Amino acid sequence: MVPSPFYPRQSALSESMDWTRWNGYYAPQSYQLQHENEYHTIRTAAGLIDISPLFKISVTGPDSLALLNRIVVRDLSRLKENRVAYVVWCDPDGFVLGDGVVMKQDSETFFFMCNDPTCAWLQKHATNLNLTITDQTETIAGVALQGPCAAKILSHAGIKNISDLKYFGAMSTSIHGSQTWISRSGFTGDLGYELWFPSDQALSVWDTLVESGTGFGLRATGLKALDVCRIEAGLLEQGVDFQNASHMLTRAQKSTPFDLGLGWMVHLDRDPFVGQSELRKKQNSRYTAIGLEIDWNQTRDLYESRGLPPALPVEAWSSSVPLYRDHARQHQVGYATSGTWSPILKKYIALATIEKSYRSDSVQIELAVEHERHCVDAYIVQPPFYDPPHKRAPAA
Amino acid sequence: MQNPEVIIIGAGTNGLAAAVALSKAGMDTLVLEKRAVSGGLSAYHRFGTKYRIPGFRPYPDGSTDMLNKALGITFPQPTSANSTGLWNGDSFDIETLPELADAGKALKTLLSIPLKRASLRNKMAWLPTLLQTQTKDLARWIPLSCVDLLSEFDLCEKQYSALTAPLYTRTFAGPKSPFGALQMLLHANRNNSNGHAVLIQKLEAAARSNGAVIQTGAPVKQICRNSSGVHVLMQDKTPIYARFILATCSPAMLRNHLLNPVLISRWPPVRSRGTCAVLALAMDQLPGWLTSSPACCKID
Amino acid sequence: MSSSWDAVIIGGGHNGLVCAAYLARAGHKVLVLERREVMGGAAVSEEVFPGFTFSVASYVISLFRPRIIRELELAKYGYQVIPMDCAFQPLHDQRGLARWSDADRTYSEISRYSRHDAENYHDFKRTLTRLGRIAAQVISRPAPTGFSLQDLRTHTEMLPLIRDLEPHELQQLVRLLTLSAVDFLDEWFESDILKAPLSASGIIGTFQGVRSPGTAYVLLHHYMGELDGAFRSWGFARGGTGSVSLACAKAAQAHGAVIRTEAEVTQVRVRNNRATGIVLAGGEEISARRIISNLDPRRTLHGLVGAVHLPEDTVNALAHFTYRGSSGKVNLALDGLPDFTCRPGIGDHLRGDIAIAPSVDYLEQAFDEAKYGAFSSRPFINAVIPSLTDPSIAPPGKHVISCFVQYAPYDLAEGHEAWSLQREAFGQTVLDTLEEFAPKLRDHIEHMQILTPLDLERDFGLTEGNIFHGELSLNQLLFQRPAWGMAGYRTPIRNLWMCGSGTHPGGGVMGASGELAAKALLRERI
Repeated sequence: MVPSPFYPRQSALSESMDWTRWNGYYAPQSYQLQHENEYHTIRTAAGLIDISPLFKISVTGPDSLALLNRIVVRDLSRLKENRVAYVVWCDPDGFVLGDGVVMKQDSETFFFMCNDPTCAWLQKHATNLNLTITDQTETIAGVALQGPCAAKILSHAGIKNISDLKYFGAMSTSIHGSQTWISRSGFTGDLGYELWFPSDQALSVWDTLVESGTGFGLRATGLKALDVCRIEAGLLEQGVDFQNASHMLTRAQKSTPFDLGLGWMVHLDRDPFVGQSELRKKQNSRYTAIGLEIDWNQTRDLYESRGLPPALPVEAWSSSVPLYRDHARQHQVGYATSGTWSPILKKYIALATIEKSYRSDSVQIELAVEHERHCVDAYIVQPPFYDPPHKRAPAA
Repeated sequence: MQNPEVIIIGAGTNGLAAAVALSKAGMDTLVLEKRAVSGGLSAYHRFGTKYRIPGFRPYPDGSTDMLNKALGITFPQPTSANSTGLWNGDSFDIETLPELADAGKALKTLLSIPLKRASLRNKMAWLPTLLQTQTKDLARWIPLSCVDLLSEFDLCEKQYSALTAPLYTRTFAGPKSPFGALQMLLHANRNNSNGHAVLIQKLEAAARSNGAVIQTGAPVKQICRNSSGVHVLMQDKTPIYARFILATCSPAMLRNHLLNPVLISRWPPVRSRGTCAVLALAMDQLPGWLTSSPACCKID
Repeated sequence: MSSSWDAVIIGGGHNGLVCAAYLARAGHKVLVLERREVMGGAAVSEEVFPGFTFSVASYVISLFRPRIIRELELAKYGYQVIPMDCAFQPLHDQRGLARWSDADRTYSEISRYSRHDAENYHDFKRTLTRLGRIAAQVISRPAPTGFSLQDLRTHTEMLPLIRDLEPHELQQLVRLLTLSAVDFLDEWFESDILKAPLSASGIIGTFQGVRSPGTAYVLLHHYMGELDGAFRSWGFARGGTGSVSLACAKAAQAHGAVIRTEAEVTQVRVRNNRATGIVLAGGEEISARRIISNLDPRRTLHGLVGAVHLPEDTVNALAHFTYRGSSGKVNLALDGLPDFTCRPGIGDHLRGDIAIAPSVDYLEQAFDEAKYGAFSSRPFINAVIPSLTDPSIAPPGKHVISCFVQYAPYDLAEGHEAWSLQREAFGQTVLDTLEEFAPKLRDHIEHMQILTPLDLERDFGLTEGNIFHGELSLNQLLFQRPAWGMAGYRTPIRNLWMCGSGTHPGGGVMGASGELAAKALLRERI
């Protein structure tokens, strides 16, 4: 285990001493004793989230586009310079290995961020290609600045043209003298940016951001708050909502992009890419990803009948919960993979995988109340649950 | 002495009233009084060498209709000058507000019905009273302060203070404190009697005539229970056993001094906060407005 | 367009807007008329000084009914409340007391003063939460009006809740209704420092002291709030309290309700004991099948209808309905944060509510002066700095402090008109008091807004400056709010209804009066 480049600042802030492990790094679950205020910070001001533990790979050279296009299911030849794209990639059987974000820094350079080690996978497919793959996981640090005040803070930090940066756009700039790549993207479904800069400059960039953000309510926020936000934003998390197929033993544990509702991303009619032929066959997937809104009145009544106030998950949960067609729990039609109470929507929401053939607009979700299992209605909706206009709109 | 059926601790008004009721019902009753005289707070209190005052209450409350009926006693109704001269400057009585008196009557009826969880019949007994129109007034009035209550009637300020002063002064509250009206309603239709002395005498006589034993100068040290049953321990550690023990002291006294702590499981919080004192004056001549009052008597 | 309205709502406070939204949602044609140029009544956000948005009057949210949020989908229209994590009480010695939403942290804070209290605090909160659940049930239902069938149902629904209570909890419930806040707290706690801020919640908005009987009940109000499903205390509305009203307004508009601002109603037209329409200040008349007033009972019936149209007992009842405003507001625009001597620096203790209530005696003494017609020379102050949590309401790095100040009796010894002369002194008293604990606060002040009870009455139509549209005393609650026989949101005038805080269940930014009034109307099939 290694500390993140921001560890000196993080440990000073950590009141709760609540750390978790993320790709071999110590990562704060929350800084405060309860993560709730951190969540509200992201939704009302701006949160500063350490994302350095992500794997960062630089692919550069004349053939870099060819390599990436061979790996990911999405056709990246359409990706312009200074843009980022969300991508997944599959094994030869068409099962998802991982997801990540690709930033096209110039015509021959791509910056690749993902949640599982992927360098070897890239190397394996780079035979005879004219390019260099560099693992920058340790040399590049990253923070996400997420929340409605994010643009103002960056502007205050001296990046005057930040408001020109469009949704999923990227730019190269400098913060406090550090060469920094900024992309307007994130895992919260809010206005937000992700910043990448050399690890040895990490503390000075952090300090600059914190100083610029004081007047805008900026606070460091942990992963628990982020988790609530990402479910509200309807974003899937690898290892929670789907698994890396290379780690899985059985067919049922793996998913195709179509199972995850990511069919829109799969560009089949192009040069071969890993999994292409199998994906062609698997287009009619059995499952699809959906959002659920769990009926509040029934949930409350269930608790009331036990003399309890309704217990809401104060933290996002991430465990498989069965979904049934019927109240008697005879026919399972899917499973919810993560869920949370959404403070901003005032709804109990979950992300789920469900049989495509299931036609009704609601399912029965299992709910344990006081050691007993019950079922309540959950309504099928299309994520994102929370999609504020300022996520995409020109940043003020 | 043979063990009585019931021991009453304290020969105050309540102790004596209980003694009357219980002995009348045929129970073998023993009343134990700490002081040399019976009557408790209503007893004559001696001061100086030659003087006494009839108890520590500033004016007589009178006994309830129910008690009077049970005792078969009637109190001489005092003249209006007597009953009001002491505290109603304008010889103005709360009973001249019939709505208040009615509401007070209804409240007393409600309060005289014992509150018992199990008994449905008891609850039904509330109904007739609740259905009366006074309920509406009661609900509105009880939470009010004395002043707010009286402000609903056309009264002048002097009458306000005259009416409210005696009613709030015995609680730790002011004339504008909420719930003062409750005190006021409870007193809205009291019986005027001309002094506690009469009541005490009557009660004592009635109790004795029914066979109750009243023992003065007999302080109880503790209330206990052992395998032989409940009993009181006197100062000299002699126990007196009985089937029932009825304590008339304040709950605080009971909890802090009388009751063996092992007998207490849960004790309701009851506050006792003294708010008044008595100033007794021995004078060679009564001021004019007091001459007709029985409040102070010189011993001949 | 004039005669086609199903309902005209007088007053665009949060209750009026909730009522409008429910009626519009049920398909009725609804018109809301607001005297001011902004919606929200006392639940309003206004940019009083450039860049600084104040929750001018009501400043925190807890009691807003979750059912309304769900049924009207207010989250969709911008309702967002951020819970407060801390209740901080600065003191002269030691570090002051901060109570946090985290139980362990609170335990260690309180145990610096009393380990006994720290242990009891948890039990206290649990008991009040249990009792608060009952109270929450009471406020989410129409009050019984007598012995009707509907009442019987209300009573029966309450039975299981009561039965669920342990005997001693039932006893506590009864005691809560009559005890003073301090007496009630005495049963749990020994530390004056803890009792002071807790008891202060019992006097908010009432003309009583912490030792006055009946104030314990108001404590319960602080434990029936519900935020994100958890029964707990307070939060800030993002964008100020007014954004709650605006969310209600948007919900109403989305269902087709029409809202007119700067439309002051001067009269309700009554013919044959029946309300037929209203008259606007400009003379315009609007007729409607139902008139619903968001104003308090006195303004509605005495002001807009007129005593001549009312039966004698209603006039009497209205005369006895007490208001007695006891509080004022001071809103500050700052270029920095206050620095408390006992806990210096900028910490999380500033993010919650800050109570200037160092001792029980301090609070009682503050009341003493009010009894004789003067504002407290050292008042109880409840201050919040919402800009720390919600940066959108102040320029970057600058802040807004909202101070609720008690006591400021409406009826000064010199008469209530004298408030115009004492306003400035009142504001300075508040600053003096704050500076006792946070010196040099004045150095940071850029702007200051002082609202005396008289201002609250003039600006917001709060009679005698009472923030609850009438005192929340036991004799003015439930079936007696605003008067016996008028608890069903009806008035003696046919077709004239009320939906303001002067009706059951009363004040606080709850929206319950508006909701229950609308539902009562809809049961009538208007």
